[in-house]
Amino acid sequence: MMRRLILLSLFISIAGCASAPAVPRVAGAYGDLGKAKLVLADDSRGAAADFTRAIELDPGNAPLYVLRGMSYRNLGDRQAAEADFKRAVSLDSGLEKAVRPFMP
Amino acid sequence: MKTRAAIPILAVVAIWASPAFPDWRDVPDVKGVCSGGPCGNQSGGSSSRQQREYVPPPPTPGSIAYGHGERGRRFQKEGNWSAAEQAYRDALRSDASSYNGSIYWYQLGYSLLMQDRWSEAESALRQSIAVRPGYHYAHMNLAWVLLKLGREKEAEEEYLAAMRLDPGDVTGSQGALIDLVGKRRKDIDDKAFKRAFDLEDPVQSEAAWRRYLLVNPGNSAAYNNLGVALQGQGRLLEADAAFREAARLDPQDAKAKQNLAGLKSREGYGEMLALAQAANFWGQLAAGNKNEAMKWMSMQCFDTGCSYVSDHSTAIRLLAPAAPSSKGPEPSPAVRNDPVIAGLQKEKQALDNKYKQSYEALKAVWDAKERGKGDKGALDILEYQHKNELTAQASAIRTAEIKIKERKDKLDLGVVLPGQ
Repeated sequence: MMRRLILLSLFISIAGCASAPAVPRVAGAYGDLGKAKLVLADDSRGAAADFTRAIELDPGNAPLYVLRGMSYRNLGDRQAAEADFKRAVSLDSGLEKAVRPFMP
Repeated sequence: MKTRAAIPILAVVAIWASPAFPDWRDVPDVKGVCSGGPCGNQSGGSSSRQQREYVPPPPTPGSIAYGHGERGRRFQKEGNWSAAEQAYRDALRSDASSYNGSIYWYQLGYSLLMQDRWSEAESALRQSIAVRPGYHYAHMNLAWVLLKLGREKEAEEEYLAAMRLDPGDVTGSQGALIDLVGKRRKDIDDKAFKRAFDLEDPVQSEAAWRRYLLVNPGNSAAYNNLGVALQGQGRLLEADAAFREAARLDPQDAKAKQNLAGLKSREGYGEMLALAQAANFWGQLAAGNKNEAMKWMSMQCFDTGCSYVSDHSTAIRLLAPAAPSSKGPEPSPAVRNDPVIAGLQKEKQALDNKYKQSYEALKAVWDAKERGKGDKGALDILEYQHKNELTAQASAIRTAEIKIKERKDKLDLGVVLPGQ
C-alpha cells in the first residue's frame, strides 16, 4: 500500500511538471509593457498582444483582463472587450462596478 | 494499474542508471575462449588449455562520438574554441541524432557562438533542438544568438520556450525575458519623455506629463516637469504639489528644490496658500451641499485635478451626481409641449445616467485602491480613464443644460422657434 502511494505521488509530481507554470514576474513585465503602449504610445494593438502574453503567464490576474478589454475597446472589438471584462469580474467581483461603464 | 504507474518511473530510472554506451574497460581481460570445459581452474600443462587472447569489442558509432565529445570538452575547458568545434564536428559524423547527438550539436553551437560565428551557431543550435525539442539550454543559447543577429522577436520566442521547459529557471530564462521586455518598455518611456519635454504649450505638456506619470509614478523628473507645466498655466499651488512630490521621490533632485524655492519667493504666494485653504473649505462645503453653483465649483476643482482635495472620501462626495432638482415653477404650456425640449431632456437624462455609471465606476476603483487589492498600475489607468470620461460627460451635461435653458427662456418670451 505504502509503495503504491509513493508511486502515485511520484507519478503526480512528474505529471505536474508538464502543466503551464504561472510566472508572475515575467507576466508583470509584459503587463507593464502593455500599459506603456496603451497610455504612452497609443498602440492598443501592441498593448493587447502584450496583455495576452501576460495573461498566458498569469491567468488568474484580473486587472490584466481589464486592461486588455480596454485595449480591445479602443480597437473597436466590443465582443472581445466584453468577454475580457466579464472574465475580470469573474476573477474579482470587486471590479464589477469599475468596468460596468464599458459594458453594453 | 500498478504496472502502468510504474512504467514512467522505471523508464526514468533505467535511463539514469545505464551508461550512454558500453564501457569496454569492464570486458574481462581474457584472450580467446575456453572450449570443452570451464575456463580457469584447469591444471597446468594440460594440452587442452588454449592461449587466452584479448579481443576488444568493435567500437560503436556512439562510443566513437563520445570519444570526440570528451576531446571537445577538454578543448572547451582550455578555451580553444576552434579545436572544440572540430572535435564536435567529428563527434557528429558518428552520432548526430541520438540524445548525445543533441548535446554535440549544442556544444558545437556553443563553440561557434564563442567565436562570434552567429549564423553557424544558430544552425547548430536549431539542429540540437530538432533532435531534442525539450532541450532548454539550446533554446536559451539560440535566443542569445538571435539577439546578436538582431532578430529580437524570434529571440523572445526562444526565451519563452526555454522558460516553459524550465519551470525551476535553472537557465535564467525569466531574468533574460524581463530584461528584454524591460528594454522595450524603456524605449517607449524614453520616447514619451522626449515628446512631453519638447511640447511648448503648457496645457499639452501637463497632459503629456500626467500620462507619463500614470505608468511611471516614481519618476521625480517627470513630476518636476509637470510642476513647470502647471506653473506655466499659473496654477501655482498644483505646481507646488508637483515640485514637492519630485523632491520627496528624489531628495537629491536639485531642480525640484530650486523650482519650489522660486515659487515660494513669488509675491502673493502666502495669499495663494490662504486661498487654497479656503477652496478646500468651500469644496468640503460643496460636498455636503446639493446647490448647483457649489456643484459647478466642485467640478472646476475636479477639472484642475482637485489637488487641494486630499482625501478620496471628500472627492467622492464632491463628484456625486446632482440630486434631482427640486420642483420649481410649473413650466409654461409652450415649454411643456415643445418636442425639442422633450428631446433635449431625454438626451440629458441619458447623459446623467452615463455620468452616474462612470461615477460609480470611479468610486469602485478608489475602493479597490483603498483595499490595496490588485495591480495598482492597472487601477491607476482605470481611474484615469473614468476621470476623463466623467469630465467629458460633465461638460456634455452642462452644454445640454445650457441648451435647454436657452430654449426655455425664448419659449417663455413667446419667441417662435424652429421645431415648434
